Amino acid sequence: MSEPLLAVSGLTKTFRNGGRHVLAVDDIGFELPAGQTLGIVGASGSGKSTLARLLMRLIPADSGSIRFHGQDWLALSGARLRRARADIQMVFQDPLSAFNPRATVESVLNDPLRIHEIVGKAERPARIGELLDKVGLAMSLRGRSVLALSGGQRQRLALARALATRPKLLILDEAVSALDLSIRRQILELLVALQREDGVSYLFIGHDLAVVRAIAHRVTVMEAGRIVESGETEGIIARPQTSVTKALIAAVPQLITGTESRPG
Amino acid sequence: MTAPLAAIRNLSLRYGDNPPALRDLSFDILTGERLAIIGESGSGKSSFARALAGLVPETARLNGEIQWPGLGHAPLPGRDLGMVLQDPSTSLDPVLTIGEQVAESARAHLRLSRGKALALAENLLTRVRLPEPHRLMQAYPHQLSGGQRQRVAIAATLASRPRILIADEITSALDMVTQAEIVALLADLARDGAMTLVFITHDIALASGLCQRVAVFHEGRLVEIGPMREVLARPGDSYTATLIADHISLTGPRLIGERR
Repeated sequence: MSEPLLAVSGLTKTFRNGGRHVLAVDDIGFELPAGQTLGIVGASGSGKSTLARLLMRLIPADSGSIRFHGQDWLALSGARLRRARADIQMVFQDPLSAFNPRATVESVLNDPLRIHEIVGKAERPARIGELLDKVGLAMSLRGRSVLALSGGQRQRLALARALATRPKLLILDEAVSALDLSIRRQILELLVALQREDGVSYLFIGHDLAVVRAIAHRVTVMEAGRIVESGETEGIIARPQTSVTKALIAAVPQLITGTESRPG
Repeated sequence: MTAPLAAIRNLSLRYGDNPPALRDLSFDILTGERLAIIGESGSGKSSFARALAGLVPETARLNGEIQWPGLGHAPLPGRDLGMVLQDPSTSLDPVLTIGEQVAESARAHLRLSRGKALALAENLLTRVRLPEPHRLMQAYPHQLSGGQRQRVAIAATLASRPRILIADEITSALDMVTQAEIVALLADLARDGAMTLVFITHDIALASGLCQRVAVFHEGRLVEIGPMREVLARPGDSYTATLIADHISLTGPRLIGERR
């Protein structure tokens, strides 16, 4: 088997809170093969978002290693890091706070193409058109302010921006959690279609195990900075080994559609 | 048959020149029931909550009426009617201790002495199942987790013993396990029927485990209303059917193909 796209081992990050040290990410290791999705689930404060920030190199790790696309990811610096950054992109829960409020749809997509020198200036309009098409946004929205978009359109735009640099890995941090359920399903279906087309890998961070199951081939369950369980998604849900995973399964709301009587 | 708690008749609401937020709503809220109001963004569900609580801004145009046959008078906000919102950090006063926060409501509405109000507050913190209520009385909102703050907001609302509790997306900002705990708490508080619960959410599955009846809102209109299990088993409207189909369960088909 070839080397996985992403291999993390022994990753640790401590924050100082007053005089106390808090282990936000505690000796974490996992692998993500190319073209696949790894779900990361856990309650608030379990360390999911700190993990994402470590992978993005937005904050430095205390120790551990990250191998990404055959490179020692934590050793990259300067121009090499800047170039490599195009390969890992991120989509957040609230796209509005991730955009410049004065931006238009076109400028949101133009920026990464320009900064990462993905295509020449002359070809940028065509590439922007392709990106809009990829995420199902109408060309007529090009000049529209990001403020004038609906929540679903904004998340599609955030996805288009992330895809602009042709990344190998997309980190989706609660990227569908704030969406209406019908829009949520559409965005998830879009993610699956994009993965089939381009082979992009996803690290899908969420707190809803049902949503993670729908999209992730494998899942890792976190609690208090540690991985408590990890494996093929259906297996983990069918045979949870820890109380954390069992609680996450029990917390998924069930649609009671039958006419059978319910206790209570 | 007892009179409904509230009778909503031809209720419409419009903010400025925007499209109407509510369009000709007519339905009853039954005394002691747990009613779910389901809708997506723009459905008017939060506007309805505000109209029901008498919190519509003066610049908005409100037509139609809400009668309160089950109360015999319009509810006094905060006294007969309690409301809990999505973000507890905006509804709690950051410079009041948790104890003062909850006692304040009891003092204002029940005219209790300070000592009695504080005793009631500690009692209510126990009732919403907060750990170490005695110690928490002295804590400030920022020292609590999101789920704990939402429990405090519920306790403060319960202090005046309201006849109706409006919960507007109160679990949307919480993680799943905390959400399940808050819903279990609401079920417990509203179980004996002494308090009517209006549970507003975008998540029909979440409401299905808690509420007996459901009203589905779409673009300011009431699409349908009926017993929860009947509506889920036989939705009377295609919009409701779509909401049900969009639910992602732990047992349904996955979006990624199984090994092919």
